[in-house]
Amino acid sequence: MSPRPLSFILAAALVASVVAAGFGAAESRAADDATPVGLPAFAGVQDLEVEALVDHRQGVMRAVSGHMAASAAILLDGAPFEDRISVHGAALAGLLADVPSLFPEGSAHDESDARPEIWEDSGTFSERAQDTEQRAAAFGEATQGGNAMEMTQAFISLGDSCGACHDSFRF
Amino acid sequence: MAVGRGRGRVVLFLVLALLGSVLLLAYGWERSVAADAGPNPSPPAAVGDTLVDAAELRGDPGSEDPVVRGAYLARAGNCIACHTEEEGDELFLAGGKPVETPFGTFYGTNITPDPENGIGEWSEEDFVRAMREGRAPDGSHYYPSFPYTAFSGMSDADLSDLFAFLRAVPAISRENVPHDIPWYAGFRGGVGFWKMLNFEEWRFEPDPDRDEEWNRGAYLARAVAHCSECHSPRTRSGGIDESFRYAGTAEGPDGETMPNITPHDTGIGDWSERHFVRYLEFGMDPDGDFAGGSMADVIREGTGFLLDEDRVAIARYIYSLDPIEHEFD
Ligand code: HEC
Ligand code: HEC
Ligand code: HEC
Repeated sequence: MSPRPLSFILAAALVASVVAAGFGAAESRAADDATPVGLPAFAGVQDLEVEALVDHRQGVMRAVSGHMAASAAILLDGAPFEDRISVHGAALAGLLADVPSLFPEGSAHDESDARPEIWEDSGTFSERAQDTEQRAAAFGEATQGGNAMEMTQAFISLGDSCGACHDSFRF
Repeated sequence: MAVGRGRGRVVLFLVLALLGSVLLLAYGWERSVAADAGPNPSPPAAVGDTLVDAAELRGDPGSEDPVVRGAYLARAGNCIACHTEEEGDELFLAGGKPVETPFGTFYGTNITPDPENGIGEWSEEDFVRAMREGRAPDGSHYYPSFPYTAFSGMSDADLSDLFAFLRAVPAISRENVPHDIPWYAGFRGGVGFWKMLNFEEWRFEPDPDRDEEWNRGAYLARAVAHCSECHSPRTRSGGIDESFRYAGTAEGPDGETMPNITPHDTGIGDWSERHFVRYLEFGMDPDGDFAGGSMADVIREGTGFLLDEDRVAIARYIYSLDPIEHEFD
């Protein structure tokens, strides 16, 4: 094969990336100017962004649930993976470190089960989130130390806090 | 039954309803004049000799002390969730908790032994009549938002223990909040009509073909924890649709979706009993997700405090139900 097509592809890629970068820059400049959204061309992009935010936070919540289910199997049902419990503990502490950041203003969406109260009563929402964050950190710590009783208590207390937030802020 | 026999009846009904709501208003006014004191910050609850912290109250069905056995039943029957406005000791069982229904908002009443605002003047017979027949000491009917439709099936011994417990909690002088319901529903005679169609006093009878564990679970689920009061669709007259008991509804009280909890694939057929027991203990489902809505209250104030063997018994009973296919969103 002649090298021609390859250099052509590279050149095309370069042009494309320059264009893309220019577009990105234009977009971020527009954002810097805090220009109100007016251009219909951007509406689709924004919509996609919200969808991505919703996908992301739902994905995080499902990941959190997966670690909860796995931890329960180990701590309460005796699945023989005690040596891995700290992995779940660390993941939970990490994923739940800043729940409010998953719910930026304006990220309500048809596909989302987030209630408007998240933004209307953001004080209470942050309180719930902080409560969970602290309990997740405590569970993460307990799984490093290894006392089964402490781990189980920390685990159940973390679980209670999930329900407490869902109760008021999730449809 | 003569459902709607002509216009005369409707007019009579409306007149009676109006009269009823006027009476209710007058009654409410009299009560609010009588009750001057606000919530009375209570001493820590000392129930029997065993309990100090009402919010952590657990009880024990095997205790010698009727008060402690009664506390356990209060947990199983979820009395605390509907009769305590805020978590904690201060207003324990002193009412004011909103109970949403399609007919309006009802408020759980003060059931502490306060003589004026609570049930301090009640005899045990008064209490038994309320629980078994849904009738107040003056003979008037209670709204079925108070699930006496289920409690009616409780045993004499358990009702007696429950009353002993209610006598032992600290009296709190807190006025009842009037129900927020449309004027035509303010007429308790209308409730009598509803009861005629949908309520029959009953008593749980153990099934001799089943073992003790199953019977214990059936008793707890049906007569005490009243699971099917929420987890069933209603007929047009507001009774439970028997062919779908436990099979859930998209139109539960307060517009909540009540899942199908029969052991069918469209229900909890794919949960193991272990998952089910864990759910009743602290709300975690098999996916690691956590219960919300009114079920979170049922668990937090009720089933979470039961002995594991009782949660297992409830599971045995629920898993023995006919699987009913019922899907909705
Ligand atoms: C501070 C509030 C808050 C806390 C704490 C919280 N959640 Fe959530 N969770 C939400 C909200 C709001 C949603 C709905 C998100 C959406 O649909 O956009 C949600 C959704 C979910 C979902 C459904 C995701 C999906 O696929 O739609 C699961 C599962 C979940 N949470 C599990 C958990 C678990 C497990 C915990 C505790 C370890 C937890 N959550 C803690 C608020 C919270
Ligand atoms: C689903 C909510 C709910 C649950 C659960 C519940 N109640 Fe009630 N209860 C109510 C409501 C609402 C009323 C008021 C009914 C009315 O005004 O007609 C009431 C009324 C009463 C009354 C009559 C009080 C009075 O002042 O006339 C008694 C006694 C009572 N409940 C006891 C109990 C006991 C004991 C339990 C637990 C075994 C219990 N309730 C569980 C909602 C509930
Ligand atoms: C006050 C109404 C109410 C009562 C009483 C009640 N439930 Fe529920 N239940 C609900 C609601 C609402 C949900 C949905 C919770 C959610 O969305 O997280 C639910 C969910 C459940 C689920 C999870 C089903 C699923 O597919 O996710 C089970 C299991 C369950 N209930 C069992 C019971 C049992 C057993 C009892 C009696 C001990 C009971 N419930 C009493 C309202 C009630």
